[in-house]
Amino acid sequence: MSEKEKIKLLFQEIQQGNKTAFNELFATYYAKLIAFAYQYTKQLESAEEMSSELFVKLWLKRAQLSKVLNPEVYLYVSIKNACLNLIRADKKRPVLPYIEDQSMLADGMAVESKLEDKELTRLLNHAVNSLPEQRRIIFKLIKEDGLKTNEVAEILGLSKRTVENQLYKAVKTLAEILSAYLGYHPQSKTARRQLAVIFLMLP
Amino acid sequence: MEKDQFILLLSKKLSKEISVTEQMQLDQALQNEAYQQLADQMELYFAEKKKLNFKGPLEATWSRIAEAEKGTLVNGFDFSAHQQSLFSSTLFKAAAVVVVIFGIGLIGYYFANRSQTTLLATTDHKIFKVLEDGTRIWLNKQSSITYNEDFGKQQREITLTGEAYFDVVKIAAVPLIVHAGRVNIEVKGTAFNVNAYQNNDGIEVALVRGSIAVTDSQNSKNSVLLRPNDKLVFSSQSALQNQNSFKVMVLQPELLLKETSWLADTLVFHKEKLIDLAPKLAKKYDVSIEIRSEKLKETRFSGTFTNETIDQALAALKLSYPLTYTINKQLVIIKD
Repeated sequence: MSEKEKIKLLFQEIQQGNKTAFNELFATYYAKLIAFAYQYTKQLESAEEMSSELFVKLWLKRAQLSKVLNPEVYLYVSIKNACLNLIRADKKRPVLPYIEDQSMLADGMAVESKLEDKELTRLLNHAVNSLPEQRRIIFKLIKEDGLKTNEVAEILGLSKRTVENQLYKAVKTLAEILSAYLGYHPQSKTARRQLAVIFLMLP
Repeated sequence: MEKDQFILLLSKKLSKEISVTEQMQLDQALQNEAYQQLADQMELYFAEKKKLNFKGPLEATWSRIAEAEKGTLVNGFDFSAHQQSLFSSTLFKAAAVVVVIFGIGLIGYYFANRSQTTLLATTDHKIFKVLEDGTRIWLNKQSSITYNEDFGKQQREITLTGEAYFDVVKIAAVPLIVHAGRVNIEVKGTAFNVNAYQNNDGIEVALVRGSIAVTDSQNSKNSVLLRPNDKLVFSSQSALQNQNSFKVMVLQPELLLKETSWLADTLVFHKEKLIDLAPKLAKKYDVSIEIRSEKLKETRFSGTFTNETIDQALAALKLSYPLTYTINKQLVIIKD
């Protein structure tokens, strides 16, 4: 079952008053929505409150969930709207810097890295966090939240072309870093063999 | 395969939206060991998963739901979509400015009389004046300004209809405020041009140097701080429809010159439709211009006129686009 079908089913169940389904939805999306909100608010507290409040509202208005055509997009768009409304209402708020190391942010929020090389992961994360804002948001939605380009396009109000282009540019940036890194830290068997040969040849 | 092409295919793979053909091309590319390595590492990086301990927040959320059902929850956020104003990401600073709406004739004069007594007006000519505080004003044709009697000592307020260029002396203790139609401009010591003719719907303000804050007098929350080379266009039409009535654009230096070119009797135009250019020509040469061709009205011209006569100017236009014209005393007729 695809993510899309799963969430549709959950929405149906929640409409019927199924609390387990609600908890399941929460478990799947709470962290993702906080991360998304954080990109706009730059403040963890408001991102957490916002995410929680969205779920509260969802439960209270569960009778109307069948009207939502695209549940996943709906969640993200709601968060985006709340962020933009917040920013607009509070113009006096100073523009906060985007804090990179999100693994430190939420209590118990851990990132499981499949990439063995910690140094490389750190480099790549830094590169992602240094991307221009919209590109970073797009990239994270696709990488971390597994959204498709057309969904991202709908959430952010952009064309699919733009999203694909931004993704391409982000991947290109990371590829540069990877290439440079791998050049200095050869991990191929050939390279290792070559190194081994060199060592063997040394008297 | 070219690296960029490979990256493109890879990015499609990573977003899980790669077509069959593209996958085949990618497989082909991956025969290159360096590319294969790159792809492997990238896939691993993409496979990172976030884990959050959500039990606490989940319980907290259910508590909030309970409170909400009792009616004791205070909602903090608005999740609905609001009409996005085009420039909501521009830096907005509130500049509290008081409005005086400039009326015509007696009414205007009444307002003017309360605290502003000096009147400067032009009809067919332009004037240049230096005020008591050293501020220099150039007033274009068909324009007028009024300013308070003891200008510079405790207040500096100017009301403008028409078009003027201000070169303002900075006096920190006494801000200078220009009222132009519905728009108020608070000036910090700077040079800028204001175009606020009464029969035009829009009011335009172009900043040459310094900084000014422009506010809609009927909606003081609507306020913009301009930087050099910014041009703001205020449209009361869009204000009526509750859309964002301020549009700010950044001008290239040549275009900024255009905003203030009336100062030196130079007419500078850049890809302008003849129908928009004609009134400017009319003003410069003191003629009436009639365009008898719909197509010509929409044709765009670029150029600079300084010392040409009207005849020479029209001949120059003719060089860029076929047209014919007749000049009969003060009337110019342009046809194709």
